[in-house]
Amino acid sequence: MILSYKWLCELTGARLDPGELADRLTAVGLNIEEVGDAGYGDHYLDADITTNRPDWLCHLGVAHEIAAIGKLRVRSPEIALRETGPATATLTSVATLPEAREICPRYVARVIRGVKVGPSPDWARERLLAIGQRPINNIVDITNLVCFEMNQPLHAFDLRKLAEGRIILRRAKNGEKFAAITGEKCELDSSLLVVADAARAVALAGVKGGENTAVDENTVDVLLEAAWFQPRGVRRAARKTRMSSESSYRFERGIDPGMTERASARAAGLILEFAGGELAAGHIDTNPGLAARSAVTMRFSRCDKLLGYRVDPGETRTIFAGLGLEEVGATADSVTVLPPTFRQDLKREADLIEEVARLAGYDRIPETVTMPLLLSQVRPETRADRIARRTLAALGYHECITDSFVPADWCPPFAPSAAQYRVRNPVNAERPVLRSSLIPSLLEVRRTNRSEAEVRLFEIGNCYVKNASGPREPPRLAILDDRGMEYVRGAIEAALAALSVAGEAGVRAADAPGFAFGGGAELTLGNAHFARIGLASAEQAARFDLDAAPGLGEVEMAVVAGASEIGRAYRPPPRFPGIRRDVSLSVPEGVKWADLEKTVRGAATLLDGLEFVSLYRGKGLQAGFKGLAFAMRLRAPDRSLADEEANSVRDEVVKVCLAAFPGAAPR
Amino acid sequence: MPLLDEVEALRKEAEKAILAAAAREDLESARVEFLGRSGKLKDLMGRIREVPPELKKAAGQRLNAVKSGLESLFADRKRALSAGESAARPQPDPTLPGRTQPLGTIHPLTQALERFAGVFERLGFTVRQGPEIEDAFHNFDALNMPDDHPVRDQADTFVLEDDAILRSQTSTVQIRVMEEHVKRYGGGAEMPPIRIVAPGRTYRPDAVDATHHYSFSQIEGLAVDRGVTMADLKGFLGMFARETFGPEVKTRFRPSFFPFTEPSAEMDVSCVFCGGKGCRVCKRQGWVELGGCGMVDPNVFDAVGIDSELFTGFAFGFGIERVAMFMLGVDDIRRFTENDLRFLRQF
Repeated sequence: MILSYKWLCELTGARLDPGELADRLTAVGLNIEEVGDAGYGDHYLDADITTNRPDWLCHLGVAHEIAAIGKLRVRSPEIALRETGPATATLTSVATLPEAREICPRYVARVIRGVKVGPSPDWARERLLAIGQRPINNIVDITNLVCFEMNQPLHAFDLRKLAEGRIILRRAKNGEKFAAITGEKCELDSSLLVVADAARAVALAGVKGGENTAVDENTVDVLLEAAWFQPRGVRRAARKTRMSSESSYRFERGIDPGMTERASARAAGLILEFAGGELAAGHIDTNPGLAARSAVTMRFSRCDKLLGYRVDPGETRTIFAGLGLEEVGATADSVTVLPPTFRQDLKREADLIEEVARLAGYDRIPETVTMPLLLSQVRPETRADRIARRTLAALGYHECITDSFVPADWCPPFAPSAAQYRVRNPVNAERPVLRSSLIPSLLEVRRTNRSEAEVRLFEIGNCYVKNASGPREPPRLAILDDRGMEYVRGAIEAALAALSVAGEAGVRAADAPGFAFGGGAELTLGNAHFARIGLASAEQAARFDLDAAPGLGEVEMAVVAGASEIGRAYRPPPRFPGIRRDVSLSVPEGVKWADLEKTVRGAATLLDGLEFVSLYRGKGLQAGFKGLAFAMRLRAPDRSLADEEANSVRDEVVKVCLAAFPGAAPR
Repeated sequence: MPLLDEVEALRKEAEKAILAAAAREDLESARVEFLGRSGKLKDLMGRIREVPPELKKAAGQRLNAVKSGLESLFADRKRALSAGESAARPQPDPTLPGRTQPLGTIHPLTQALERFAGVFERLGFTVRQGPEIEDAFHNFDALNMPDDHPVRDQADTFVLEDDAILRSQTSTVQIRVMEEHVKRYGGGAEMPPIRIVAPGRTYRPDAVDATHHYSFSQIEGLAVDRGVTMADLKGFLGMFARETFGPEVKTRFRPSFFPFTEPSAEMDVSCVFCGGKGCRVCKRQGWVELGGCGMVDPNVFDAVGIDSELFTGFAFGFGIERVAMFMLGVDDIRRFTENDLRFLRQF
């Protein structure tokens, strides 16, 4: 909203320079973003006006604020009308059909006959130019001037173009066509209100006038409309027809219901002045009593309690009086006021307290901390995120933050059973769904960093899954490591260790086609699935232009956070030394470490720890065989173990393994 | 030749041999020749008998002096030789660069979030999360943003298939936490205080440019208790600002409007780069906008069932990207989601 400095000064007699005025207005919440030379000896103030203050959408409204700040009086424009024509009721009529009463509770019409359409006087043209509006002709310019002065959108119809010269306020018919004065055409429906004549719609109420009844250079008789349209009705019309205007902008926010007739009179007076003609006697007003005011009470004690310092009741009264709040009652601890009709935002005690805070100045509010101590908690999910993040960073992984929106075909290969959320109004049409896996985004980051030789990445964030019971947002950790999936698993295990997660992770085959070799592996804690790891499939590597397939993993952070046992009880260190025995076997390719591990654990008595040592392929082994080596830590709880005992355990383990895996042999 | 002359000649000869020794072996053979158990000096000492008795004492002293002189010369030479030798041997060089595993990094936005959340945690605020996929009640209605009101224009949202929406602000977590609290304790006299911060992602369908993105992060704060005042709000946020931006930083609160707070304020901090004098970073304003705050609107308390006569509260919300860009001098918001390692490694 562009404000004219000169105009504001005329209305208030303010003597501040434009910069000072801007600062003072900003300090009470009317944020002036820019001050500049408007030409014509004027300055403009570019105001960012919040939706709660539609009264600031005009110069008179801002003038009231300036008056309140500077203890000045607003000089409202004087209106003296010479009604020399016949009675208005003999020239036109306004009928509000019952279906229209909710959206148009007040409609004021005046008729001016015999006008001469032409350019406005220079002062009016300059005023419009200073606030960035284009002068058109005297009649249209007047409706604009009054709108920017009093915040009352007005419309002038060419009376002779109105069928039967009368106004009917009704709902549009479904499919009714409407062509706006600005050239747009649209189809209406019965939820929308139109201003009609005896034959057709002549305006979309509160939004746009119609092309069919517009004032032009040949217009002689004018019907001047000033109405109060319901904000929701106008908003609906503007949204449905995708048309908006200075008028709809104001009606949507709520204009002063007490200004309708006065603004009409002001405009009529200016028309007589600029364009001549004779004003019909009297006017039509369908609801002069619309602007009822209701009283609001504020307790001084409540105000002090909310703001945290004491504002003297005398000062509060001065502030209220300056804002035009009329005192109608008081007790020792309260004051009751009637706000002016242009302050529709003042309905509750809290609204009045804000006025006190604003006008007394936010700078006056002290900085105190009187609230009692409160112990904060670190919730398990917060702690798990933090520890996992620090562990991974310490292991050389870089944290990424990627877009929640992804192409539709990215995630299903990594989360085959998850239903994805589609966005109805995506900003980036190539990314219309919410991710159900973090992995593709890390592959994309890998592509971004193609020039890097070896990369380790992770992200912690939510995924989004559509469920019958509603949306699920599983928090996840995803890892990408060029060195391979065993490093991914190592990183996951390090994070589990840092979080003191009890129990060892189990492994079972998974079937997510984004992973190579049959879909990767699932890691379990207890029986709960908590992670998926694997090598990117060749197809995935190709999709993201990667020469080599990186190791990948995705962890359910909720499971991890739930299994974390930081602070669990201590176990005494063993009292007797253990003995290490290494075993190296040659086994067929099909034998997995997990199978071997399970067999060893079943066979080894006195086993206190089992460690994978190496995987070997090549010289000295038959084709189709590989070497697996492991180390057992054997320990008895009650004595030092003898070498012979350890040897016999080892021999037994080897024997059981050879029996379990046909073809296996000691190396 | 008298004995003393012979001693003098031997001394010169021995000195010459010791100083000429270029290696440890040469020096050792010189020692054996002159100072050894059957060396030349020992010979001369044996001949002290030949000296007339009245001169014996002086001759003995002279011999001893030459011996100790040669011994110390020998020791010096030995030190010098071994120093020279060890300079050629392999030895540690502590000026070499250290060796370690390369560290990874925590994303600058996470760092900023953790830093902000950390200050509030020390002030008794618990970090809480809330869903990003929301309904209109939590994103709008309960936050005093009625349907069909222009206030919703500023908070256009992404709409999902089943009329769910993506939250357009983390204020939704305020509502979630208060609802949970009321469910557990009731919203009346028995209700314990609430003090939370909620960091998280938010979404608005804005076009992407250097300073806007359709997905961004906010940190939301909420304190509800008996007798929470706007002075407390200024006190807490003032402490936060000084802890985050330095003890010299000044704060400014301007009246503003948010549907869920009243009174509402925009909080500015003095520019940390120019100290408030005005520079390129703060666009010559001297102030940088940090975010919005205010006293919880009674309608919000009504929506969740907290007695607004008994309880008051304050709330605040900051955009993380904006503040991080300001603090780190990042010129384009897209850098944060690009994840170029040359960018990430700097943090």
